[in-house]
Amino acid sequence: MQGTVVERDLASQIEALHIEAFVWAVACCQGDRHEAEDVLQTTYLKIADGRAKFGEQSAFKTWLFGVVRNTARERHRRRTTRHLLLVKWKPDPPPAPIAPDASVEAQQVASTLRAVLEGLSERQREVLELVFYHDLTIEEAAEVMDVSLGTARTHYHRGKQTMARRLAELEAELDQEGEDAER
Amino acid sequence: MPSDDPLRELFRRGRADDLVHAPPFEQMWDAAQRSRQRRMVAGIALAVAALIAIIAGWIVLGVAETRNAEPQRIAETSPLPDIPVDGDSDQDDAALGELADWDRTDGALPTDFLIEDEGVLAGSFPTGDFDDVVLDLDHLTMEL
Repeated sequence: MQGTVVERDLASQIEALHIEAFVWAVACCQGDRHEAEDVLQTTYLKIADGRAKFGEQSAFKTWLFGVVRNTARERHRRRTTRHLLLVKWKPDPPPAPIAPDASVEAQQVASTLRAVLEGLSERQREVLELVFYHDLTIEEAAEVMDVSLGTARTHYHRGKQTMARRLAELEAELDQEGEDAER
Repeated sequence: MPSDDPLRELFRRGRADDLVHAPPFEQMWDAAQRSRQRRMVAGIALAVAALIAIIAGWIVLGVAETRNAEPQRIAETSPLPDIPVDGDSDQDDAALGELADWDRTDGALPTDFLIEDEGVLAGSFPTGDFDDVVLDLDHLTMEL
């Protein structure tokens, strides 16, 4: 990596958050890792050529996650438009599979998480992901999501309730299956 | 109030596989830098091409304007009274008188004209154009 001191400093800050940013991009792309890679690449390009500039009005991580989210949404909108135009000629792509090389347990946990998150709205998923996985505060999550703090709080509480209930249901189902198997 | 730990744990374990599949940072950042450089080169090339087009257009228009402006310029510096005629010659007077008569007949004075070379007039009158009015300085005969 070459460039000016400012560029190197920027690059090192992004590098420190790269893996987290990728996981966030995957979440923004509903689990599609290939799309997440493209989103992250586009995000870095935006930053490199100055289309996205850190204004130091928030934490760097919050800003970076906001750029990733916006980029994912832009690409999603573009893809949706293209899909609407080409729907007659092109069939739907298959849903993003869980990586085949993941361990059985990891696959189970990933599918459990996916099942739990399925019942949530997009904003509920986002705020929970940011708070529970990326350790952001609700205020920071609101900044990333570009919504008011009140809205983010509402999504957070409702999402958390739904998620906890859904998780309890899944565990009960699993226990029931276990008992049935024992009999 | 129930603890958030189970939910955090679920996220942590559920996203563990994504961590493994994160592409290398350097590769992505370098690709972004290369793409930026390509864009810059393309932008510079576009700007240079636009500049060349503007200069070429300016030259073409300038040449055309110069050509169009030439008669006027000469006319401004060489008005009719400055035509070097032999004022002592009766023939001169007659020829100039004839020209003056011609102007009066047509109801206007020349608006612009030029001396294309010695003794040759060309120009336009409000009532019509004429080319190659030959003013023979020796004999001062006009051919309209």
